[in-house]
Amino acid sequence: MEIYEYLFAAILIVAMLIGSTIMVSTIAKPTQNVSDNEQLKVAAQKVATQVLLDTGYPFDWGSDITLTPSDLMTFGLAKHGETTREAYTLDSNKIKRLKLDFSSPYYVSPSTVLNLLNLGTDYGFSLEIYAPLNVSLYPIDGNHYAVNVLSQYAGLPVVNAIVNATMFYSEGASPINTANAVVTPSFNGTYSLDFQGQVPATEKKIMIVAVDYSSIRVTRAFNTGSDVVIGNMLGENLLLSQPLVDEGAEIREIIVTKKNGTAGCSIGNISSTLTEESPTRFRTAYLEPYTVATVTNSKNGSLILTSEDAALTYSSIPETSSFPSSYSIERTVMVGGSTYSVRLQLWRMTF
Amino acid sequence: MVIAVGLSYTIITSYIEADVKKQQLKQISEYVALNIVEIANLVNFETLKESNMTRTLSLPTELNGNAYTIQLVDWTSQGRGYQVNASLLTRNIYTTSPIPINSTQTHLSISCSGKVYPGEGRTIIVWGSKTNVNEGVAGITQKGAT
Repeated sequence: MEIYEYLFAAILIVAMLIGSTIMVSTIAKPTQNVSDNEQLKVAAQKVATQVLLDTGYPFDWGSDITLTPSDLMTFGLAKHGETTREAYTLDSNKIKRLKLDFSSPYYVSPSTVLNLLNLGTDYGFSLEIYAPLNVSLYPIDGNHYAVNVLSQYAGLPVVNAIVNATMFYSEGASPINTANAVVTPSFNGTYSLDFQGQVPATEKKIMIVAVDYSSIRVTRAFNTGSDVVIGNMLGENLLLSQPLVDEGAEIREIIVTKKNGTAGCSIGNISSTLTEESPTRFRTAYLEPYTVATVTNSKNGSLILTSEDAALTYSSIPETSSFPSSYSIERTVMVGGSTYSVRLQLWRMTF
Repeated sequence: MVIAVGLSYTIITSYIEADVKKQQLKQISEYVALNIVEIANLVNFETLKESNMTRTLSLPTELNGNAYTIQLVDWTSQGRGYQVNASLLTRNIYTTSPIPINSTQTHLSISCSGKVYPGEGRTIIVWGSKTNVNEGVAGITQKGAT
């Protein structure tokens, strides 16, 4: 054999080796991709189970303000009950801990959650909580408003919903009054609210709107005046950014209950008093379970509103709720008597 | 030359095969971790009374002729929480999947005793037990031939 024949044979063998290696790895690739997706799906189901069905530990980590994020041992958003528990019922205080300003000592950061879920730096996640109905409010004049109810997915108008609305208002330093709206539905998902001249010309007013559609209840608190300050209620504690409340001030706890015998909701309120724990933290004498919002007069002439609205966008990558190649899981949950959808997305940070 | 090329080919395919097996092991460990979390949370739903629950897992008896083991490990002291470890008996290939519980001092704990060997005639069971109001334990065990 000549030298070039040896060389040719060597080149042929090496080419065959390279070719077959490429073929083997190419054949294995689709299987590997399917397997990767399947693993991510199972991992997402695992995380969703823990987040939505477990209470976390300590059980009342949302409402107990003596607990800081470093005291948390396991993470879960489910509501704890001493006697009974319901599946997929979440604790609004635990959700609020995720919504607070990141400078708040009560805020639980995504990195803390990742560590508590034992995901370390291998995975990223986002958690979105949103109402199944998109309820928006448009002012017409001081006594007339329009509520638009659309489905969350396609933005289709929701007709035949039962809408109830109550205005909570105050003039000067007078106690908080209420006015119920007369609601007129239309066929395009817009509902007209008429307070029939009950609401005086004041900027200290907020509105609670309760929408009941086929047993899906969505409650929203709207800030309808300019003299309204937003606070946070964590458990029995009213948290403010400035010292705005006097010791012994009255607080109205707003509750939404199902009407007896008929469809729709009743919006009511009970009164309690605030005790000063620190200049920016006040404790209520009694907190009604399933309070959807609270309203109180501040000492500087504004109205303080806290809302239990659980809508949330929370992500391990700030401002990012989705990521390429993530796996998404959706569940319907109850928070404080209202229906919400939860979307959990999980993605790999390492490949 | 032929021997060298043959050897290279064997090494490369062996590497790819190991990768595929690792993927399969990872799927198994994730599946076990999911079941552990589900059973631990289900058993914990009982707030006032003791309860026991079991779930039989559907696992392959072998991975392309290789036997494998599953073990729950407690790496909480290393900050890695509880993990499910799946490994091949014949080769040094293993994977771990985290169980989203990162502390031993909670209402949910994981029993990390022994390994289970899925195989012909063996049933792998995930169990959960609530012994008092605030304490649930979950683990994995096998039934059948040892």
